[in-house]
Amino acid sequence: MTDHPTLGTDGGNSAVNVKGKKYAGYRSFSYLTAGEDYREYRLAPQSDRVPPFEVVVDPAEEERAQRLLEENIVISLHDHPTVQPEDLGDLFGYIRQGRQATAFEALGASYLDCVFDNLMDGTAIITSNSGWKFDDVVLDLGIRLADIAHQSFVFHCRTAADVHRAKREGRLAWVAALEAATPIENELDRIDILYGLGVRLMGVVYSESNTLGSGLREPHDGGLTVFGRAAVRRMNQVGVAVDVSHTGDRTALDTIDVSTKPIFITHAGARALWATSRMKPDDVIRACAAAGGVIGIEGAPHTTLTAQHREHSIESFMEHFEYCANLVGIDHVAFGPDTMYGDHVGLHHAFARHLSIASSHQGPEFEEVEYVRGIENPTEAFPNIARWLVRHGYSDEDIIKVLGGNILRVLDQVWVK
Amino acid sequence: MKLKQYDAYTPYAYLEGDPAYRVFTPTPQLGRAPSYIIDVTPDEEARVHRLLGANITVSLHDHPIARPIDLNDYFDYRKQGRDVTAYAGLSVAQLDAVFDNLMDGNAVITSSRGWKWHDVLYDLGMRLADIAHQSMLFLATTAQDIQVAKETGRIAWFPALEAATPIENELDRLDVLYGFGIRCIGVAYTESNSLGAGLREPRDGGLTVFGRQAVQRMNRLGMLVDVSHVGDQTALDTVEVSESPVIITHAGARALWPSRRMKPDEVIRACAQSGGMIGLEAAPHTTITDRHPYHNIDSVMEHFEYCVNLVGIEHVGFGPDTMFADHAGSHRVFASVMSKDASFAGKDHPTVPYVAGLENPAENFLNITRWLVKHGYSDDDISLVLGKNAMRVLSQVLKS
Repeated sequence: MTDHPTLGTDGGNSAVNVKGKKYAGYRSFSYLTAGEDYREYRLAPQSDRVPPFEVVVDPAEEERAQRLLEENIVISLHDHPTVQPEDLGDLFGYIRQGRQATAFEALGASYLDCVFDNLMDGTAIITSNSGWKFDDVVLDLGIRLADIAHQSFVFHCRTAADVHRAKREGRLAWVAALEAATPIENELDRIDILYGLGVRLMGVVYSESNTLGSGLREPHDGGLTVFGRAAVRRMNQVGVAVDVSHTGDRTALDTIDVSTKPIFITHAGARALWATSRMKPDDVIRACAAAGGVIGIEGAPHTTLTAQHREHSIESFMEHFEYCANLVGIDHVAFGPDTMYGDHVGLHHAFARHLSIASSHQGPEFEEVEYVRGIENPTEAFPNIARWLVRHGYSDEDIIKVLGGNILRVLDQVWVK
Repeated sequence: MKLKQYDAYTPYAYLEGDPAYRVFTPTPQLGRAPSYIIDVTPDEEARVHRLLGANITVSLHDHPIARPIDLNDYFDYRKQGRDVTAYAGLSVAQLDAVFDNLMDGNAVITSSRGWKWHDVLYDLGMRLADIAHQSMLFLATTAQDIQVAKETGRIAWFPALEAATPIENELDRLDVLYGFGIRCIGVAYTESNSLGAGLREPRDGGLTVFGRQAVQRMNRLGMLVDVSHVGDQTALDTVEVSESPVIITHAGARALWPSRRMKPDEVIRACAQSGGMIGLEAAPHTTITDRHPYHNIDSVMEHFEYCVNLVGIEHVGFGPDTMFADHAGSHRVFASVMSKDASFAGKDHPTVPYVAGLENPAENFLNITRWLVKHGYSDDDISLVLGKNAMRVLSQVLKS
């Protein structure tokens, strides 16, 4: 592997590997010549872009949290571990080039053994203005994989055994995921093809309806379509995990009903705590759990708010966690913080139309924050989650389940090999 | 002999056939054409078995797939985009690594003339989806993967493209293809493209400006550059521009048989001098000779010996270019798409129904080893041409 360090294009301090992790200095696309082979953008720093925040614990609790993170498999069920441009004025140009930088350095400092990376999702506007094109998904995925193939710390994850291997070898198992099946249009075989090219999880639909079913922004939800039913069945057969995070409620319930395998809500929270269409009602969370599935708690700005914590932070995020754990049991809850290295709030503004932000966030009044304190990026999210759980008296056994054990249980059933 | 961990997986068994896809009755993978065994003594056969067990074998160019029995179904079959990997045939092929060239010029899923970007992605993705459901073959991307395959009784499967045509004018598509696992690309097929001239052209303009950039990008990525189907000037330009060894995965010597599909001495020499190699071709009616006009293993091995004498045994291997199906028949079906007239123009020669001794991947390496043993090659030389030379080139070119 060519793990030659090159001059960083971002500011900030360099992140330091956590114990056992083998990041060795590679920076995205350093196999090419920046400025010649591709346009270089100044990127956001991978660490300390905003003041770091640590959940307050005493030294014994800190030691316990560290031990739990080091000894057990830690999985993020939903993230975007990429680096955004420092100046969001560059965002469209950066995305149109189709070369998103992976935050290799920060991931080395993250305690993650496995991350579900959702690529550009609805912001993939390489060849179109409105996103979700098959061509763009393939370009995005292929370029990310080419970059990943030039270093040895992160590797392309295709099986549950790969997750265990990553833990054992001090590496990171990188799962390619799509937030929506929209790019398959009306072609079931594209599920096979995307699986062949390495995708292991697909959302049925993003916030906007597609050929499979209704998105959460729609005034009416027609449920899973005939094609959607065939697609879920094909995903089961091929071995693609199914996600209903962004679907309407009826579509989510239909999906759970039709699927022969457990499904995921990779990133959401409880509507009982915060009444937006982006949150899930009790019956969807219950149905997901009853089918053996897992909900990953969402941490994107202005999503998992609560009446008690109207300023979005790890406290409101964990209130959603506790609500779900009480509702369906700790075996069916995990974390999908949905974070990135860069200004997520700014990105929501820039892509408000593409991502239907207005209808996702519509509900009770809240104060906008600049970032979500405590879970601002993938590197700080999991240590703070572990600290919070330790501080609030969760047992080792329960913490191990929610950090990764529950997700592995589902993957063993869903990923056929 | 090599014992592979074959799990009797049937292609696309993760689905139930109709109506998910149309099932075409595939060609049998073993015993389809009469098997041809080179006559060796029991002692020689024992040595053949020992050599195959002990050494890494690499096919630099093959199409290890089955096809519909009825060639009238061929276009419909191809249009569906679900090629059948010949797992059963490969399980006895004595291969540790195979470069699989996918549908190449007859990927006609969304067009009639082939080589479309979408079709290549469909073809590759579909094959990979199927391969991910069994355990004998695995997607290989490094030379070490071949070692792993040998040690674990599996087969390192390298997807390859016979032409860079589908990248059109987009260098970044090389990164995308690399990302999906492609580690060997031909500069052009028989027909010219944006990179350079194919071998059928009356004139050869050499490697284009874009072709030069593409070869450099392939070098940077860590991909093999193949010049099997390009014109001679384009081949020489490629060797000159490339910072890594250049390979001819499947061809023979024009000095023995004057067709455009064969390579002149200077191209074979240039590849060898770059550190690369030539893999001997055995597709029907290619590597013929005056002494052996009925194409069979003896004519192929005459080309082999000529190349060994020309550039040294360190620069020669095998890319038989065979399949588990009627290859001569599929040439007829796709004659126009694949410019067969231009490739074969030269001297008159008799036609054969198949190449005796090198008819399919299951018999190729057994018969090649028998031939080499029978003709007095040393263990060391045999290990070089079966796989060691390929391992040297792959270790140098592919990033690991």
